[in-house]
Amino acid sequence: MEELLRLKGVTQLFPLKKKNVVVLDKISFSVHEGEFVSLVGPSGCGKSTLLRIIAGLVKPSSGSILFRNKEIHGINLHVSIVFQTFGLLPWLDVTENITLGLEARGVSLKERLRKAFKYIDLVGLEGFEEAYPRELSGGMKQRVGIARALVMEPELLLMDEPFSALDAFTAQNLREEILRLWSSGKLSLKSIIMVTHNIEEAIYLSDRIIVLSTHPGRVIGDIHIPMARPRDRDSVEFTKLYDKIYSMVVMAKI
Amino acid sequence: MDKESIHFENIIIELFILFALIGFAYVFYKREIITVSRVANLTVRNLPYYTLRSLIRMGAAYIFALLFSIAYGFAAATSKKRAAIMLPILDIFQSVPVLGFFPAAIFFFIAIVPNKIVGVELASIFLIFTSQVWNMAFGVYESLTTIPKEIKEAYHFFDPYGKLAFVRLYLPATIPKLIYNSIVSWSNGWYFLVACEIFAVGSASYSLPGIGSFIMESASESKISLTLLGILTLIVVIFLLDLFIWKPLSQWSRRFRYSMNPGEEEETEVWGVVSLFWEFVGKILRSLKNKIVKNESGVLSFYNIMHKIFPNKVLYAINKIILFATLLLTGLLVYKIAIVFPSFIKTIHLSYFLISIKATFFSFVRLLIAYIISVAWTIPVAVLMFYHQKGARILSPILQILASIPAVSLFPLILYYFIKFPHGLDITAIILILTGMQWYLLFNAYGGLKTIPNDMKEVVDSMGIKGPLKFKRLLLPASLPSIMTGTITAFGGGWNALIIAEYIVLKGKVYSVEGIGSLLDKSLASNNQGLFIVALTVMVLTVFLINHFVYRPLYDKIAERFNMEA
Repeated sequence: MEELLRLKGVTQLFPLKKKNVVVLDKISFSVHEGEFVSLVGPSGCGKSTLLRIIAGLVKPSSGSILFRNKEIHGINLHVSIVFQTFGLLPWLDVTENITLGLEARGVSLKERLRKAFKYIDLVGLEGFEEAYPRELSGGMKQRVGIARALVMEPELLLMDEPFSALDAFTAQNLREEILRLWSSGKLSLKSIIMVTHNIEEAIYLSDRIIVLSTHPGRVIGDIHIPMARPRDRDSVEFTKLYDKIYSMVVMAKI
Repeated sequence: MDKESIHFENIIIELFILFALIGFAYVFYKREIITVSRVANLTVRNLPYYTLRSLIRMGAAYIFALLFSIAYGFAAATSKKRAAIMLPILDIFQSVPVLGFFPAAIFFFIAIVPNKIVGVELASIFLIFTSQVWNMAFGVYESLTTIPKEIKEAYHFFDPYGKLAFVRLYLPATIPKLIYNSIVSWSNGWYFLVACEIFAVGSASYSLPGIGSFIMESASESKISLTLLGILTLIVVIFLLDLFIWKPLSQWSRRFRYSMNPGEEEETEVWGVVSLFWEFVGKILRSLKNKIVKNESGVLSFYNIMHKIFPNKVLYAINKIILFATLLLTGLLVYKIAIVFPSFIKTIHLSYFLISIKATFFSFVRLLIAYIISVAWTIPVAVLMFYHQKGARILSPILQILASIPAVSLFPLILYYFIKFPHGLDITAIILILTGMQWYLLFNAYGGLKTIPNDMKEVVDSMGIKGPLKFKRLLLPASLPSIMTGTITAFGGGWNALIIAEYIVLKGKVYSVEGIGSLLDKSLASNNQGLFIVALTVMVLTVFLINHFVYRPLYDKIAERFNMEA
């Protein structure tokens, strides 16, 4: 499969009391078409920062991001992002929240609504088109977040701990939903990168797991998950992988 | 930069602004003696007209304040460099008793506007504006700087060039605080409106006909039924505006909040009639909008409009021109001050300072007495209301209506009854200050008590702690930060009240007590420019010093020690 994204020596420094702390140290890896990649690591390893660098929200101190072999400066218009605490605007209703990005790009109202309804349908938000975020449960809010990201029809979807602000039951529901959408072929999506601290979730969803260490953040592991979907959490293979990654993350903390 | 040096820098900037203000008052000091408490026709028939005049003043001031506060808050929030100078300015204007600068403002507007009646009107609108705007501007600044990080990030991601940022992100984000602070500012405005109208010095030259001057004039003519009618009209107008404008607005503003913390704010109930009224207005507005606006996407984009009218270069130029004009005007003011400074030095004596300091001391004692009385009744009442929620639900709207009466409008009435007694004006002054102070304390104390988290109450109750111990260990510490906020606001109001309350002219006869307010008025009346400026300086500096060296450290300590989130 073709290479979609490449990170070359991405380094991020953070000034702290007149000293620069290295948050991310020369991170390099690529993501290919068709891959669902998870970034896993102990808290404070800079995985969320790395995701923001890929999105173009944060400028790295050094290093570069290539998307289809072209260097990216500023917001990467081929990617879209789902936030941990949703980042919905409370004063916009569901449809307006979803179409915000299209509106900013000057897409006409008619076209905006057509696209919005398509994705509202896909993520299961029918009947909530005119609801305001405060009227929705956490799970529904994240569905809006996902629809808002998908409506931009990105090639790469970034998800920053998308299920960690939800209760366990809702989170599992949404995971299944994401897998269903991912495998449905109805999306423009080529790849997904997800940041998580939940190892089980990472194994359950992804094709590949990149493990980061902390202080400084470095790639210490790049593991392929060869299991077929749907995956059985109680299988020997699953547990083995879990133990392997778990010990890597624990070691990375020290 | 560490916190200490920022603090020090702020003090320097604020002192500079203070002296620029005093310099402004000096430069525009004129020989003309003014009074503004006159209505031509003291009859019931004219009451609606005078009320309308007052309302127009209020409305004009508020619209200016609204636009200015959004622009000011936005400018300060979007650049750290701008904030470094704009925030101290905000701070000074919020704490300085602006009423002391009213004469200078009148002279200034008379100087720049050829028509003297218009000049006085503008000065009063300007004064009401200053009483409203800073609180609102701070609200805008605060809401823009506290937009949750992830919402800001998400917004920036989906609108990387910020084309819709103003209408979709910034403006909506300011609405809850802007409305909330508008309500505070609006009632503040009433106070200053009435104060402007009854502010009197010397013999008649100019007048501000309005509801305030109607009340004052009728009281000084001993037509007490007219005075009462005037006050009643004012209360009814304030009540109706609250019912039809502010209550619906504050309910509407809820949808712009990020989250709802239970118990943070009481549900404001909007009456059926009122919602019907707004539905009707909304329908008219929508049909008007549909007629005028055909192309929806063009309208929403503030960015597009701005850029159609002003291309980037022009915007940049406007920015530079504003900066340049500000610098030029400041320079001009400094130059003017420098020119008149030698002659100013000649007009002042050392004794002026002693007189002013003594007067400030007397005024401060008055403030303190009023404060002690306020605390003595408001804290127990707040605690009682906290314990008896049912009673509080009945009492609280009544108290709110009482509190919405601008204290100065009662001043003529109180004056009428107490002026005959020995120390009559002293008593009146303290009552006036009290009526201005007590509500801030009551509502802040009660508000602080209401935000005590339920689990904390349950812990204390489960251990059987009650009575004085519960007050000492839970209620007082929990509400202390809000009581402190109330204290600061109350004193701010008190200083302004002094200026009207300590010196009064009734039918050509001057009544006054020793104090900084009366000193300002007396020096104006006797045209002693040197004394006026010295008195103003001493008062402003006193307020400034108390703010910096008493309130702020105290507030920081209390906030640090008793903060709920610790």
